[in-house]
Amino acid sequence: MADNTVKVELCMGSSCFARGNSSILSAIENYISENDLSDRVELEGHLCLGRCNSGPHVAINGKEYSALDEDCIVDLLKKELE
Amino acid sequence: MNNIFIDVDYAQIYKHGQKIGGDVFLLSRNPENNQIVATLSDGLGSGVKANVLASLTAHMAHKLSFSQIALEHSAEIIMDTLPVCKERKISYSTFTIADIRYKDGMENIEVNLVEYDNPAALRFSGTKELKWDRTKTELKREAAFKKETISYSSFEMEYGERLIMFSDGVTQSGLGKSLPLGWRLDGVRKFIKDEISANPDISSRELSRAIVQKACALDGFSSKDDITCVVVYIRRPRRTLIVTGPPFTKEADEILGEKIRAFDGKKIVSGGTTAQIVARLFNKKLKVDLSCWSPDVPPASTMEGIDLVTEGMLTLSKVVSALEKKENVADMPNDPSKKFVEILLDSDQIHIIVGTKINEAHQDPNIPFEIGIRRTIIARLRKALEENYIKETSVEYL
Repeated sequence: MADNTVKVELCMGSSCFARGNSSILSAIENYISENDLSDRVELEGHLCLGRCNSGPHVAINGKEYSALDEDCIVDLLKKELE
Repeated sequence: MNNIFIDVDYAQIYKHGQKIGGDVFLLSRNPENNQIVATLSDGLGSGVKANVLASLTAHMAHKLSFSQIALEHSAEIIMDTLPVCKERKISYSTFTIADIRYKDGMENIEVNLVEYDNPAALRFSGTKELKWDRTKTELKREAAFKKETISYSSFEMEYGERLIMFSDGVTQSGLGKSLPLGWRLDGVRKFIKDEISANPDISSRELSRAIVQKACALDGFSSKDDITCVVVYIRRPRRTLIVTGPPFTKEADEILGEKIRAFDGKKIVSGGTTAQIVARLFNKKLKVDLSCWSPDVPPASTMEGIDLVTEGMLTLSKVVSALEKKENVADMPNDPSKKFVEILLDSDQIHIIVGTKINEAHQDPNIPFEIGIRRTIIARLRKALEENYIKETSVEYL
């Protein structure tokens, strides 16, 4: 991967998935396809990270975020891509 | 669990243009009595009238087989009960009843076969055809319009044997079209031999389907009659293991690993934490596959040595509701629950190991109710598999 790629990691455990990572993943996938960013964003899923009570957990370029909704995450991704 | 499985399945194509069949097949398994009854009946004519006749016949034959009444007497009762056709002034419906009984552990599989006016059933051991003696009895009913001969036979079935029964729509296929006298018993015989030799383990579902499709093709894809075929196949069971939930104590992790290693069959791990435990025990890599998921079901993961790794409760809930509603697998969204259901439907025996450790995060009222009690969902899974799909299931807690 080139240096300007952004890595987005999502917890795909039951709790995080049910708490919002299902729609966050959809939102990111849509954002990537609408803006033709598949070369710039690397998506990776994780199994339960053991912090279910404060999910959904997302990490963008190693910075961890929790309990945010899909709009926030997409905004954070946009910022990271700038 | 038994090491022998009696695989019974059938395939059917209605007469071209008919929405209802004059061939009726009924199957009941009664595990408490160690008995399976398969009944095939072909009613006079086609369409609704034939269906009524055949349904009546099949249901009576079926009920009587489970009773203490001798089969000969049952046959007379059936013939005397059928309504008389207004035009033809006869009451008529053919039937073949295979009453299969076995001892505990699936030993000594005995078949009592009653045949009335359907084409003769065939038996194969591998590709070799088996012949056996039948006793013929004349019914001599007063209302009979012709000589009524019923044949009875009983025999044992061994591992690797098949019993194949069909309606005359099979033997008469191609009649006057591709073949002057139709496919006939000899043609069917040869076709079955070829199918078994090409695929020695062909399942009852596939073999019966191949036979009716061939018959329909001989009819120029416009079947002249209802075409039905039933196959009974004695084979080794296909097994699947489902592991879900971490064991109650950490010490039991090793035991879980041993059980998974020792299991002979397909393996499914359902649960992220469980999968992480298994990966650690087996020293294998786990990778989340983001290409296969849906808004209801989180993605599957891959791990060497395990056929399917899924998330736990959300996936299991979807699997259970699909099985309870008998959803068509082809119509399910392409997510891990679909793969899960496919594996289960392809299995005869399903063993479930339930880890009983409680996930604290799942006790939160804000998350969907599906993430609830593992035991409840497993109980529903077993019920759906046993009642809707006649699978054998067992469960153990760790």
